[in-house]
Amino acid sequence: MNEVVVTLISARTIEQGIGLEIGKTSEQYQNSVSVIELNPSDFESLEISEGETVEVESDYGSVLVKCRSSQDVPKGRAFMPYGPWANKLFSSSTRCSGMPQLKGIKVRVKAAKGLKMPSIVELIDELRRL
Amino acid sequence: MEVFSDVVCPFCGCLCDDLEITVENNKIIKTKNSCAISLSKFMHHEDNRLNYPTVDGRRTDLVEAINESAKILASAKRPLIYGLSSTECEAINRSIELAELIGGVIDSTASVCHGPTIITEQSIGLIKSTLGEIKNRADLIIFWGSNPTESHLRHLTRYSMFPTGLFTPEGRKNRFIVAVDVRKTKLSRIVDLFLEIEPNKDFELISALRAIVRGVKIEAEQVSGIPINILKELAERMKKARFGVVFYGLGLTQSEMGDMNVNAAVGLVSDLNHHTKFVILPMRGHFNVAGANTVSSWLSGYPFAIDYSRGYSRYNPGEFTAVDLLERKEADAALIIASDPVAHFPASAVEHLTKIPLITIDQKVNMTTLLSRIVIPAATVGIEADGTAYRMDGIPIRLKKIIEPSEGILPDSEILKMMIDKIRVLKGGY
Amino acid sequence: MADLIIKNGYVYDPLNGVDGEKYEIHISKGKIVDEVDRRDAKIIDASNMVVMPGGVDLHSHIAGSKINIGRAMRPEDHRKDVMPRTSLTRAGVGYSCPSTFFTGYRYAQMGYTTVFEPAMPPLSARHVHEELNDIPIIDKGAFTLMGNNYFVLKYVKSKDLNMLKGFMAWLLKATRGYAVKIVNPGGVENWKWGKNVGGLDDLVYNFEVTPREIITSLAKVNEELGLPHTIHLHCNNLGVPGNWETTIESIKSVESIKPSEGRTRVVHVVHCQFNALDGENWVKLKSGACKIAKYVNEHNHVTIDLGQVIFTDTTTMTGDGPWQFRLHNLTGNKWVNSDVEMEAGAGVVPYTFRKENPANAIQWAIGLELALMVHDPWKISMTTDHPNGGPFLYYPKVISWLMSRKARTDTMLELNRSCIKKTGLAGIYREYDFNEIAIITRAAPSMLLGLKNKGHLGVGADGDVSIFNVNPTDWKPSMYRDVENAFSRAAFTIKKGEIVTKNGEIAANPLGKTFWVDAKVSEKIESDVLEDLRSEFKRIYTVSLNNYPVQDAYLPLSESVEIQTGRCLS
Repeated sequence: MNEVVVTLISARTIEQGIGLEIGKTSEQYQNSVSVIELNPSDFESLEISEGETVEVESDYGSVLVKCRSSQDVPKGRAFMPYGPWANKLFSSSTRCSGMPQLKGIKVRVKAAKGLKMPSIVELIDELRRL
Repeated sequence: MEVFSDVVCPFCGCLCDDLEITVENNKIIKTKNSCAISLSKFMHHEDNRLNYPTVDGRRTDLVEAINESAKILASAKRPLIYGLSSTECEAINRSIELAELIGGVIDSTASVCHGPTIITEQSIGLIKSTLGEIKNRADLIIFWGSNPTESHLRHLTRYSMFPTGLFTPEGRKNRFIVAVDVRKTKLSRIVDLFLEIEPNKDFELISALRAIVRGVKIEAEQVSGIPINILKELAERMKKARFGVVFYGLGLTQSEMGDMNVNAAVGLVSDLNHHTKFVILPMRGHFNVAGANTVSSWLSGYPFAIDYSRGYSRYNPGEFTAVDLLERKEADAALIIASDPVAHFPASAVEHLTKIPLITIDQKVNMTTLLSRIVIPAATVGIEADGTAYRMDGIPIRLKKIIEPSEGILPDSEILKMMIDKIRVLKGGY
Repeated sequence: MADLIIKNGYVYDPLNGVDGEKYEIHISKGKIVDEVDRRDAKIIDASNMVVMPGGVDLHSHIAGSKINIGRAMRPEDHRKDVMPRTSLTRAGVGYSCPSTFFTGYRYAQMGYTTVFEPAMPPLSARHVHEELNDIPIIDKGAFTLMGNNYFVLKYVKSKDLNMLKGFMAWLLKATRGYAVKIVNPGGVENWKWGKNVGGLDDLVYNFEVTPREIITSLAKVNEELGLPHTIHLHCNNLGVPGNWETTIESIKSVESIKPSEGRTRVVHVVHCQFNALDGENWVKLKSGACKIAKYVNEHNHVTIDLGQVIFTDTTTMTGDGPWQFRLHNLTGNKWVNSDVEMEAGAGVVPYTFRKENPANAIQWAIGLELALMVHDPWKISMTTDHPNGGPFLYYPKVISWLMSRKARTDTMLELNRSCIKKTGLAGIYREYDFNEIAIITRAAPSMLLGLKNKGHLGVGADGDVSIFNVNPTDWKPSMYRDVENAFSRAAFTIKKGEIVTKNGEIAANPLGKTFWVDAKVSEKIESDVLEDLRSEFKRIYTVSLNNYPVQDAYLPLSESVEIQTGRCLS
């Protein structure tokens, strides 16, 4: 299966800001943060179409999100807005600083055709089962 | 219909205070001067609200919710209080009083945004000014790992890139603007110089600049993906600026070795002060995250990461910070105030949160309220409740109350006061 | 609250001419009264003890952005002194940058009941007041920074003293300030371009005014307004060897200004020790105290406070940005700079005064020399410029140095002898008595601040009393440790008629009030100033004019001093 290894950056976006002010359970919020952006060349190597689900996996966890291509993201890097999807990928280690590393971690992205991205409610249910 | 002017926006650290909000029948019907996020905040503040307190998912009244919360907190051995950055200072003040009373650990969202800035301030200092100094004087502005076009939408027009000021009569034309980022952004398209650098290589780049400013010869041809001649030009420009500023964001603090990145950046600016005037400002996110650190400092001596288990405050980021406390599975109860750590903490820290009694005070349904044993709805600060907030540069501004909250919905500070009173009773007046 | 009688104590009440007499103090409803009904009164037996008015500190950085930067940047400072929470008191930590509750408790434990924060940037006035409201027990107030304010510089430049007057009155009210504070006039504005001023006649960039013009204009209008305190001046060139000349020149510059009715003084020079340095550089440093003292002795328009140095690790913090940068470079210690748009600046740098550091030894001697060489104690207020010279916790030690030559000698023996020779301290035999201590820690600062009901024990005064467990009739200067101990833990501190500390332990935890000045100017001037503010504010500030003034919500308990003045300046 096709897979790319990229450096993941997470950050804020306007859509995420607008969405969270409507509410965390709103469509707008969920749509705004459950996405990964790749450079077009990395995107193409996955042989998927715009908006298709991919599985993103780090050393600490994995998550299903939709994938978009973006000229703004350099090759070998990926971008995700802050939120519950991105946070499944990060380590809680803070090197005794209090701050987990939320930018610049290695992740593997692979096509996940046919798989469904979890909603907020499903993410919550998953946590409840823990 | 009533129009409120000079309203302060309770969203981001810019605390824009020139909003005009039109209210009719206790409903906001129009906003003026709002950015897109502010508009969403004011117009959607009634959406997805928590309407009544719940205990174990069951609807209850405020008194029972307070009583149950008090029982949990009073009997917990290692309670954690977390959040604070999206409420006003009186509530922060009460939260710290509560932490004292229950011998708990208290931390704010600062620990996962600009905690590294505070750690740097404690190791080498910080060279800052208020935003008006930038507006009035700065002729060189560097956005490093920060992007106001996504996070602080009116920063560029009110404070940094575009405004005219006392010694900057031509606004944008008087300024040279630089952006340093790992990807292209809306900001990178409108600046005079964009440095697209490699992720996790800020420290190297800043150190190289610092070396050049100090007159050290660098043999490498490029650093962090940037050719050395461009760095030399930038260093020269920095030394020759009349008034320079670095606005840095989470690009520095949340990357690998966040505190070392900030440390290097402050060191660079410190060196530049031997040549000209240069300041460095963190782009604080939540509208009162600066207030959380400020109030905490005057009450406890420490800006965040505080433990009251010995009756007085002790400080240790990495030990008393929320993520670490949860990762070590140390907390046995948590009170979350105006924050959503379940959505924003790394997964393994969240896992422990789901296993302890969780009490949340918030306005809206969020991931944390959905997992909380007790949920207490609160008034929206800056819309339904007044109070103080500290802007990203430390300026205190009074938030306005422009509409009445729904019946029975109280501000955070009053809910916390009720909790304190109840716990004091449980503890026999202590 | 029960009435209170303090009996059998030796009373020192210099403002009422009482010097160690034994008589009863009666307090009812928070005020000193002639006599209360003995049957219902609580009686404190102060046998063999000293009774004084509650202490008044006119210059101590206790609240606001500077001290709070100090707290935040110095976690290492707080572990030295901690107070766990009790059922009565809140938790707190010291030491040089103590938390707010801790500050109130420690001051009260030393018999202090009124303290003023001397440097409030207008734009962060709300911050100062929020902190003042979290300092328990003591009454307090804050001085508004004006010496580098854009509008002040503008009106000084245009020589429009009526506008200046209107602006000063407006700004005091907008910030709920109590007095006019000037820090390195002109120098802080120049620091915003990374520069400074070097003397009274240097130019301020873009404004073409001089420090001299700023000082004299503010002093003149201060007296015209009839503000309760004179200008509170942190001179140019602070901490620069040879700066005694600038200091005297600054005082001289206001010599001819007509004081407000009923007083002779027109300027208070703060933490004078830092501005009484003689010699060309740090290596050749010597004391300039005798020169300053001589001038002060010969003139009645100036008062000073000490800024006494304590040998300890402390935190320096001033509104003098360029000085703090200089100190950072001298020491290599961490440095926070904090400039405030249009009006002020600040810097914070930790500093350790060491006995083995020649300059520090000389600075230590200068503070004491100033107190001992100025003949009239009414011109002196005791301060350490907390925490710049050292934490206020050391006031009892300063008292012991002033009251006992042996205390000074014992310290001098620990210092390098050649350093002491660069000062006149070894040749001074004067020792303060209890009455003089009562003057420099109570009566004089209270008088200088124009606080009618503080600093004395006459009928009508606030019921603020401190009682110290030392018997003045058999105390000798050789027993200086006894006096230090007694002043460290007051036997009783009474605030507004309530016993707030007993044997150094907190007994009650009331909230004190905040003083501020409401100076009235003519309607014409007021409206002219407002119009000018409206026309300029939006362009140069980042906070709207309507959101700028401190709201009433920040003053839950306050006392305004109303000043009427309609006179126009010619």
